[in-house]
Amino acid sequence: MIETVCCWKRAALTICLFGSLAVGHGAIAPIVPGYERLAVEESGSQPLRGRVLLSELNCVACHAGEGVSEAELTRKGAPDLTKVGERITPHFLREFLKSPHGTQPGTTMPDLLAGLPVTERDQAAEALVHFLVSQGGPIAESKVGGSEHDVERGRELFNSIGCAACHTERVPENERVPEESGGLLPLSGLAGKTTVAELSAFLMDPLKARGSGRMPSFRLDKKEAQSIAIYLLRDQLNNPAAQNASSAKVGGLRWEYYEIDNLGALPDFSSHEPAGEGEIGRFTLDIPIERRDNNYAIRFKGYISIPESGEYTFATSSDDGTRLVIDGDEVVSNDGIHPMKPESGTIELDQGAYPIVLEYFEGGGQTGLKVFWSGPVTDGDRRPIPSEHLWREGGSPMIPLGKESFTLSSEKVREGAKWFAKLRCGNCHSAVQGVSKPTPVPSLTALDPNAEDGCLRPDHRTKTPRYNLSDTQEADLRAALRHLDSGGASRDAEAVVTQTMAKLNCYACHERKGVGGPLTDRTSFFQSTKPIDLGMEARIPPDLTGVGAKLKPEALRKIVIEGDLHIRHYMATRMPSFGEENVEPFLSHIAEADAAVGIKPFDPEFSEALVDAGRKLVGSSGMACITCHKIAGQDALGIQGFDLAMVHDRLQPSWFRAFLLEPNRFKEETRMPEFWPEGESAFKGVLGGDTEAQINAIWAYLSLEDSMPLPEGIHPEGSAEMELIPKQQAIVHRTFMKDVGPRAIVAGYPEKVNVAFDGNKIRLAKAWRGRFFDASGVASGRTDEFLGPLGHSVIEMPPGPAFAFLSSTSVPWPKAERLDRDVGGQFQGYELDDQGRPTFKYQLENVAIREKPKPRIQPGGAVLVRAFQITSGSQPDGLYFLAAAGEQVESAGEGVFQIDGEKRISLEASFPLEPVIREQSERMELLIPIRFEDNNAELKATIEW
Amino acid sequence: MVRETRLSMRAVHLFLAAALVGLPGLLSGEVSEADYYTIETFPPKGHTLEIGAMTRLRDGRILIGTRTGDIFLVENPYGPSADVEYKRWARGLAQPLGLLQHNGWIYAAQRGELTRMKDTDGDDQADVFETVSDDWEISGNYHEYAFGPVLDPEGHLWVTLNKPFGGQPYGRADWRGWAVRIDPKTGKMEPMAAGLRSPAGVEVSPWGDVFYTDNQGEWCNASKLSQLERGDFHGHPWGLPSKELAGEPFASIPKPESGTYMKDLHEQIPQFKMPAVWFPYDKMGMSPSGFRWDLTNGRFGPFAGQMFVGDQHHAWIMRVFLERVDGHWQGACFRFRKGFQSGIIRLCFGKEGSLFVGMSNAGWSSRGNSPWGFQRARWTGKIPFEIHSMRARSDGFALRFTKPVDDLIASDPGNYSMTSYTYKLESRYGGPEADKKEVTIESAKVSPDGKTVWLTVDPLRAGYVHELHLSDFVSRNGVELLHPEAYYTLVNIPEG
Repeated sequence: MIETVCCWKRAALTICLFGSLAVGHGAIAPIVPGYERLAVEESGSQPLRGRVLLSELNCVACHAGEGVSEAELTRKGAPDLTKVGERITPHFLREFLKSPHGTQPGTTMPDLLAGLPVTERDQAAEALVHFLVSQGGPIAESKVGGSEHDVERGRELFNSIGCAACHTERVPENERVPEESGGLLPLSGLAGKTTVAELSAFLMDPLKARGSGRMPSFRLDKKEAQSIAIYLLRDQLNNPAAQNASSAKVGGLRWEYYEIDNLGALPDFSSHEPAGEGEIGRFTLDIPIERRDNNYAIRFKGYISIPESGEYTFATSSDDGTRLVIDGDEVVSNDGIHPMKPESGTIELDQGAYPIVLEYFEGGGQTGLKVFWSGPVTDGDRRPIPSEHLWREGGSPMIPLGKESFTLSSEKVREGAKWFAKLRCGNCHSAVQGVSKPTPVPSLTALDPNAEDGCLRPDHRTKTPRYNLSDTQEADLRAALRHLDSGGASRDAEAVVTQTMAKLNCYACHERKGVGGPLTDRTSFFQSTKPIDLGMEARIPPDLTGVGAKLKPEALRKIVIEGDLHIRHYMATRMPSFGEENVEPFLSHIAEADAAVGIKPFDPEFSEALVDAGRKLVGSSGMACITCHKIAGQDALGIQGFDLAMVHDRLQPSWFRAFLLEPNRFKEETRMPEFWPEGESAFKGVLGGDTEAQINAIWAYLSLEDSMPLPEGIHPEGSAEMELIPKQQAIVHRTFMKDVGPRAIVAGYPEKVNVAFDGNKIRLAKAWRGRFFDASGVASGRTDEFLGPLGHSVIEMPPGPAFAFLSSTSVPWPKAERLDRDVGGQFQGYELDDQGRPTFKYQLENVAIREKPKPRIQPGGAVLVRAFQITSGSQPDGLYFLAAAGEQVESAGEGVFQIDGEKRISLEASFPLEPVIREQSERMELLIPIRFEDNNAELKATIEW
Repeated sequence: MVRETRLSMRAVHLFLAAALVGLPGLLSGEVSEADYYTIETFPPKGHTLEIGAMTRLRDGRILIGTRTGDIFLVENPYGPSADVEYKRWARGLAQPLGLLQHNGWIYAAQRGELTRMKDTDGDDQADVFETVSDDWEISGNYHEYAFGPVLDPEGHLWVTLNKPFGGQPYGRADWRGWAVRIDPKTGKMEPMAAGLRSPAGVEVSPWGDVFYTDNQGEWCNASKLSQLERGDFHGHPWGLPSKELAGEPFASIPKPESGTYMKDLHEQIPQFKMPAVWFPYDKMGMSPSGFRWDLTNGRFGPFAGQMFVGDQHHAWIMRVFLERVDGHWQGACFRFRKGFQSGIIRLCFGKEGSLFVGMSNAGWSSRGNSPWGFQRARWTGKIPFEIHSMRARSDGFALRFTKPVDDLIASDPGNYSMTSYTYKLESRYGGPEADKKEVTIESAKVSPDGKTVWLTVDPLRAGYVHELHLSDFVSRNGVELLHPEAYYTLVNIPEG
C-alpha cells in the first residue's frame, strides 16, 4: 500500500524515458541517468539540463568554458587509462574502440573512429589496442574460481546494496540490450572485458580508475567485491576455454564432520567416513551442520598463504583436542580431553602457499576452538589467521570470454600513441606517458548553438566525436549553449545542488523537492536487512528536501565523504562514497540552498539538571522514546529505530526542535508521534510540562552521545560473553588485561568512560569510551585470557609512572617495562564512593597519593578528570607529575595542552602551575612540578579525546 | 569353603537382627550415606555461585567468595534452603580463594595480593579495599591461584600460592609454589615452606598447626595432606629459584632427583616433609581442596575433632583421622559422603553444626550435575556404622568403630585384607602406587566394648600407605559397614 503511495509520481517513468533515449540508428543514446530524471520529471530548466550534459559528456574537456560558472561545468573526467591494459582484455578494447555504442550501449564515450574509412578505422583501432595494452597490460590470468554459491551471494549483494538503483541486471552475452533501458546503465559485455580479480579490485576502489565518482565506492570488503564480480562475470563459468585451465583457488577451507563414538583423543580420520562436509572461511566450530553433543571430530583442509618469509608460531586453544599440520609437519599438538587449553608450535616458512590441516575432536562437555598465528605479518602479536590467507582448490576457473593470445607490437604501440594524441583521447582520459598535448578547439562560448554539424549533428564524413545524442539531449545542449552567458539565475545554490545530484545520480535513491527517489520498478531492490515495522522509512533512503537545515554541516560531510554517522542500520541499501572532490559542490551549497526552510533558531542550554530531566523524558516512565529508538548501543524495547546517541552528532538543534514539535511537517510518513500537539506537552511530570524546557532537556541529555547514562526501562545485557555493564553505579573489576598486565584493575562508569589501572606498575594505564569490559577472560574457561577494552577510542596514559622524583628536568622519566613492579610507588588499594567509583591509593616514598578518575559529562560526551590528592609530611622537592607525552605537545591556552592533535589536557592545581614541556629522545613530555602547601597538594587533569 | 561359612553366619545374624528389631530396611542390611547425612541445595536466585571461598561470620551468616570475583553475604543460611538470600558485599576481585574475618576486616587472598576489605558505611557493601601485601608475584598463568588466608596462633596470616602450569608465556613469578605468612600489622611477608604444587586448601588446626592439601601432578605422584612448618620443602622444584630470596633453611635445598622414593628423600634433603595423609588416586578422590575440622561437639555426628576434606573432581567429602607419631602428624582417610552437585572447593561449618559446601569445576571437569553449586550437608541424627578412627601400633593398627562390631566377623582375620605401597617423587604428571605388597593380617582382636579391633599385621612398612578393606562387615545389630575401607599413611611406626 505504502509503496504505491510513495512512488506514484514515478510510475510512468520507464515509458517516458524511452522517448528521450531513442535515436535513429538502432543504438541507444548515451545514458546520463540523473539527466534523464530531470528531463522526464521536467525539473530544472532546459539550459540547466543541458549544462549537466556539457559536464557529463565531457564537452568541457575539449571546449574550454571561459566565463561559465565552474561549479556547473566541471569536467566529469573519463577513466584513468594509465593502467588500462592491466584491467581490460585486448579483445574488449578492440570491439569497444571500433564500436563504442554497439559494444556498450548507453556509453558516454563518443565514437571517434566513425569518420575514418573502414580499413583505416580497423588499423587505428588495432594500433590503439596495442597502445592501451602497453599501459600496464596485458591483463593477467585470473586465478580466482567461482561457484554457483558465489554467484548467488553476488546476486543478493547486487540486488540489495544499491547497485541495482543505477544498473540493470547485466544482459546475457550475445543478447541485445533492450532499448528501453529506463535511465539505468546496462552492464553488458563484462564477461569478455575483464577478470574476476580485476573487477573485484575495481569494485573495492572504483574511484582509483574512475575518479569521477559516477561509479561510487560501496566500501566493499574483498569477499563482497569478489562475489559481485563473480556474479557479474558468471558467463565465464561456462567458458569452454576454462576446461583446460588449471584448477582455481577459492577462499575458505574444506571441512569434514565425523561422528565417532568413545573419542578420548583425535581419531584416525582416514578410517572413518565423514557425516558431512562443506566449505567455511576460517577455523571455527560454526560449521553449518547440526553437530551432536559429544563424540565428534572435524577436519579442516586447505592452504595457507604465507605473505612473508620468517618464523611463524601457530597456536590452538581448544576443548577438546586439536592438531595442526602444515606442509606435512605437525606444528601444534594439543590432543586429548581437556578444557580450553592453549598449545603452540613454531615453524620456519618461506613466502608461498602450504597445505594446512587442522584436526579437532570433542569427547564431551564444553567445546571451543581458536587458532592463532604470530609472525612477521602480525608484529609479533597473536592473532586469528585472517580468512584471506586461507584457501582451497576448487571452483570453476573463470576466464574472460573471447580470450585471444595477444602479442604486443612495439611498432603498433607507437602508432597507437600517435592516434591517441591525434584523436585527443587525452583530453578526457588521464594523461598517458609519451602523449603530446592535443591541439585546442573552440571554446564553448565560441560555439554556434544552431550549428548543423559538429558533435551535435555528425554525419559519416565528419571527424568529430560521435555521441549518438537523442533529440532531447541535442535540444538541451543547444539550450545550454544559448544561455551560457545568462547563467546568473542558474548559478544559485539550488541549481548547483540539483546539477550535482543529477551528475552523481543521487536521484536514483534520494528524492529532493519532488524529484528523484527509486523508480517504481526498482523499489523491490530497496529492502531492509531485517523485518522492522517502519514501512518505507526502513527501505527507501531519506528524502533530502531541507537536509541542509537538518544536518550539521560537519555531519553531512562525514556522512557523505567518510561514510560515517549512518544511522539506518536496518536499511540494506548502502550510502556509497563518491569522492570528496565530486560531492564538494553539493556540500558547499546545500546549507545556502536550504536556508529558506523557515525554522526558528534554537540555542540549547546545558546543565546536569537538564540532563537528568531529559533522561526521565526519554525513559520508560517519560515519553518512552526508547520504545522505538535504540539508545547508546542498547536495543529499543519495541521497534529498533535509529540510535538516539547519534542525534547530537548529526542534527542541527533548531531542526531537532522543529521536528519534535511537528514531525509530520518534515516526514509525511513518519512513525514518530507528536508529543507536543499544538505545542502543549503531553507529559506534565517533568519541568512542569514546559515544552521548550523539555525539548531543551532532551537535547541536553542526547548531547552526551555515547556517554549518556541509560534511561529507565533499558536493561542492557551486553553481547560479549560476560560483558560488564555499569548501569547506575561504577564497576571495579580486577583482571588480566592485554597490554596492561596480570594485575589490572578496570573501572567502568555509567557515563561510558572507562579506565584501567595497573596494580603491578602502579599507574593509570588506559582510558576508553563506550562499552566497558568482558569479564569472561578471567571468569570462564581456564580464566587466563588477556582481553582488551570492549569499547573504542582507547588512549594510553603517558608511559611510566604518573609521579616521579627527578633531580632535574633533564633527567629522563622512569620507564615501566612489562614485568617491572612498583615503579609508581606501593599500591595500597582503593576506596569506593557512593556511586561505586574508585579512588586509587599509592605511596611513593614519603608521599601518599590518592587518584580518583571520574567522568564529567558535557555536550559531545563525557571527559575524564583525574583528580589527585597528594600528601606528604616532609613536603619534598623534585616531585613531578607526567601529565602527557606524545610526538607533539603544545600549549593551547592557560593550563591547556594539545597532544598529537588528538587529546587535550587541561590542568588545575592548588598551587601555581609551572608546566615544563621538554623534548626527550622519542617524545615530548609535559611535566608539572608539584608544590606542597601545608603538606598537601591538589591537582586535576582533565582529558578530552 | 571358608567364604561360604562366613556368608551363612552373616545370614544368621541378619536374620536375628531383623527378627529382634523388626525393621524391614535392615532385612537386606543395606545402608546408604543419605540415611545419615542429607544434602540440601541452595537455589542460586539468579547469581552465579562458582564458590571458591567461604567463611562463617561471627554473627553466624555465611560469607562466600566466587571464582568470578563476587563476595556474597548469605542471609538465612540455616532455615529451609529455599529461604536463602544473597547480598552482594563486594565484586570484581581476582579469584578470591579464601575469606577470613579478623579484627574488623574481611581478608581475602586474590591472585596478586592479600587484601582486606571493610564496609564503613553499614550498607552491607564493602567500600574500602586495602592491599595488605603484594610481595608475591603473578605472571598471568591461570594456575597462579592464591589460597587463604588463615590465622595462626601468633597472629600471622598464611597464604599458599599455586605454581603456574602449562604454557608459561609470561615468565617466572617469585614465591609461586610457596606457603607464606604475612604480618597483618606490617604487611611483611615471610616465606614459610617451599615445594608446593597446587595447594588448594590451607587451614590452621584446632591445636594451632597449619596444614594444606596438594593436588597430584608433576613432582606430586599422589594428592596429599601435609603439615606446613617453617623451613619445609614439599617436593616440587618449580618454586625453588625463590630460595635465594628466602635465605636459610631454604637456600640449601637442592633440586630433587626425579625417581627417588619420598620416604628416602629425607636423607638427601633434610628439609623434605613427608605428607600426613596420601589420598590414593581415584580411590580417594583426585583433587583434594578445602577442609575443616569438626568442632561442632557432636552436632555433625560421631566424628567430632576429625577433619573433613572436599574433592574437586569426585564431588565428594572424605574424612581424615590424624594422630601424632614420633613428632609427625599422620593418619588415615576414609570416604564420607558423595553425590554433591559439582567439584567441591570449600567447606564451612555452620553455627548449628551443618556443613556448607561450595563448589565450582570451572577449568576442570568433575562429577556432579552442575558446573557450580552451593549445598548444605546435615546429620540426620542416626549414627552410621563406620570406622571411626585407625591408629597405628607397633605391630599393626587399632580400628575404632562408631558402633560395636559383630564379634564373630570382626575377630576373623579373613575378613580383612591389606596392601601397602608408597610413592616416588617424579617429574611425571602423577605416579603409580610403587613397591606394592600384600600385608598379612595375623590376628584381629575385638575389645570388650566391641568398638575396637586390634589388628596385628605383617609386614608393617614405614613410609607406606596401608590400604585396608573389610569384607561383609556388620555391626552387632546387623548394620552393614558404610565405608569398608581405610587408607593409613604410615610415616612413622610407633614404638611398642
